[in-house]
Amino acid sequence: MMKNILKHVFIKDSVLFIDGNLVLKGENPIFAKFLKEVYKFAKIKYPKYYKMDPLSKLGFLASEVLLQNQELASYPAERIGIAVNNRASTYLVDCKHQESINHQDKYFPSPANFVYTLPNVMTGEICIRNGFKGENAVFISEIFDAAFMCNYLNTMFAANKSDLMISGFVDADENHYEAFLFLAKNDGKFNAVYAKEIEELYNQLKDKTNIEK
Amino acid sequence: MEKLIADLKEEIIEALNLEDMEPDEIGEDDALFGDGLGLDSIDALELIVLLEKNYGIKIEDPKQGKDIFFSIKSMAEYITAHQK
Repeated sequence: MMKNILKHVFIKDSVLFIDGNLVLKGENPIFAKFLKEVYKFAKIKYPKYYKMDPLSKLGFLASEVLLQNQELASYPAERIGIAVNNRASTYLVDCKHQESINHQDKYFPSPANFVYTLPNVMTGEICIRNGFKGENAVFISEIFDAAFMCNYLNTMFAANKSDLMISGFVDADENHYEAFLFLAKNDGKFNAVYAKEIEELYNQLKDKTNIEK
Repeated sequence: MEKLIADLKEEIIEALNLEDMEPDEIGEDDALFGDGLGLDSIDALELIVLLEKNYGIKIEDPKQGKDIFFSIKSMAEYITAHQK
């Protein structure tokens, strides 16, 4: 494990890895049903979860598993942040919203869907759940851009703006879902989070997932 | 009225994604907001859409919302009185 990465989580194709160890292999290949399995597995009790859109549910569950058993109490809320990559934005709930406004005679946009049509609502939900008040950002890119994200974290740490950052890639559309989150710590001496190592870790986890499929 | 109340419970569970809840767990006099079901402001908007979409009832005066959406029973009474 890299010295300033405290923990990492990977969810894809009905499998859940914690720190590279397979901890859950889902019984159901359907995205929504596997999320329910993760919710039960992590013993989460958070009714607001059910109201979230699929992207928020995925990011929220990954963050819950990531933060379990982590000692966060000693960190000020203002110094814990989250910055992640995402490819498809909120495509799934966008489609649902679009369906509800396609026809003038059946024009019933759902407020509960509409409020989730921005990807940074996902990171907002994670911050609300945990009381984090630090950095909160989502960057759209075709693939997980380890170089960009690590540069961003390094900048946050070097400027002494954050003690802990959750980062990674959370993405979902109708054919694919994936959450890779890691918890990076600033040890006060600017320990750079190295993009190459993070990228290698990410690729290893994807390979492991393909083996388990 | 009984059927309408039963339908409303199902519709609310579906519209508000109250997946942990069974219709039997919602009392017809239970408060929907505050200490009752704990619904929030977005849920209130969703209930307004539900009334229009499923029952063709438009709430013209938002001030009425507090009384209409007090409970399942008050919703059912309002629907019965206003459905064309």
